[in-house]
Amino acid sequence: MEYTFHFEVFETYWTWIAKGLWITIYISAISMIFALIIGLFISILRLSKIYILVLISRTYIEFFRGIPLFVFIIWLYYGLAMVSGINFDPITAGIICLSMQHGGYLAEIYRAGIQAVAKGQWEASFSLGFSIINTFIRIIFPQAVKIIIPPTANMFIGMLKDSALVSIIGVNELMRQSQIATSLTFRPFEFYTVTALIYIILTLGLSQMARFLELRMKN
Amino acid sequence: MDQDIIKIEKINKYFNENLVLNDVSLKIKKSNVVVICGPSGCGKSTLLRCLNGLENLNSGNIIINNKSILEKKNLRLIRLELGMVFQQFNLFPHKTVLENIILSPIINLGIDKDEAAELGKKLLKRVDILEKENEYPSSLSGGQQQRVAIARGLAMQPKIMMFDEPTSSLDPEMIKEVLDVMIELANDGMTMIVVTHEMGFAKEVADKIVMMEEGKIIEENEPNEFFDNPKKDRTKHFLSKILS
Repeated sequence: MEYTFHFEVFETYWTWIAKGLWITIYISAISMIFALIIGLFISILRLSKIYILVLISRTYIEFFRGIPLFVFIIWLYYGLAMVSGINFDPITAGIICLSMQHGGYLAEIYRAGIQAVAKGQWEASFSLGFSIINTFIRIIFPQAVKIIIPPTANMFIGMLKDSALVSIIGVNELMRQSQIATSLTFRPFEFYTVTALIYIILTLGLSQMARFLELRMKN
Repeated sequence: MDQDIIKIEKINKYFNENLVLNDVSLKIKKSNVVVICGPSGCGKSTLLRCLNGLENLNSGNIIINNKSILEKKNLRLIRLELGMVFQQFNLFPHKTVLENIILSPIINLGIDKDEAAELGKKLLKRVDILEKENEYPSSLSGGQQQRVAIARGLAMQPKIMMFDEPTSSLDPEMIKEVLDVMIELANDGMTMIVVTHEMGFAKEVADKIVMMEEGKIIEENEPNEFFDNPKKDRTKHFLSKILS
């Protein structure tokens, strides 16, 4: 092996990577918040016993489960923009795609969590005179949250990694910044190694946070 | 003033194609204790669940304290007057014992927190379990959980209490502690409907015993007659099985 490592390229380019890291965190965090809201909304539709609402939510879930994120990003940014005349800026497009797809995944996680709460809890709550909304907010959801947290954390880890895909539409997040730096310096090993490590550290942080939350919930 | 606090009028209830309540009628007087018994699957639990609208009727009517359950606006009012205790206790596992009891009075009756806590403690004392007020249900025995569930029902100051096989999932040594609470409640004049196989309890406090089979009431009698001189052979047969 003749290769000489040149990690000193980071002396010049670390600010690029830092900027990319910031944007990765930014779009991931915003997408997570939207995905949580979309997921809750879709799961409630899914659990309502009203046929048309159930149909809407199932269609949503099946659609976003079926479409590859990569295809969805390109379709929305290039395809839909051309037809509708709406030009999203890349970051907005990226956030829309990430949160809509993961909102669909989350809806199924929520549904399973809510359904895992014993039926007797609804009945006891109704018997005490609670409305369906109060029952959901005060009795059912707090119990479902405990069930929901671990798979949600897994999904967030997946989303953080998926955020690299939005580099394709020119969002200057971590992956794209590394690509640009690489093309200027011809140091792919150095940049992509560091980029990979950063993703690993970020996901480790997320899973630690989830573990902490889970422990706190138990006590 | 109408003497019958509960009037069940010719109700029918289907689960899919299955007729689980077949033309059931029953009247219950204020302060009476009615025990409902019968083999499993006879519809006795479903009957209770129809009374507070956990199940919808297919036909017939139920009138509780002069309010028809068929009118939508009455459902919540009826539930506030009708406490229910379940076989599986159904305490809220994420709330402490005291919170389990006072949550509904605070939210649904608008009682203020301190007053509710005071009421809650009084009820916990009544069911003899005050020392557990800050624990979570999972750390309590079945008998203790069921007593908390009774206190939770009473906290709503209901006019009627319903018990759906309250001792069926308890270890034998815990049955008595729950029955004692129920007997005390009956002696205090609470109107009670109890689905149970505890015939000792029925003998002691029931004003009326109702025997059901296959969705029908087949016998309705006062306790002495019911045990000593049942009208139906089916009742005799049932009693000989559960009393042996």
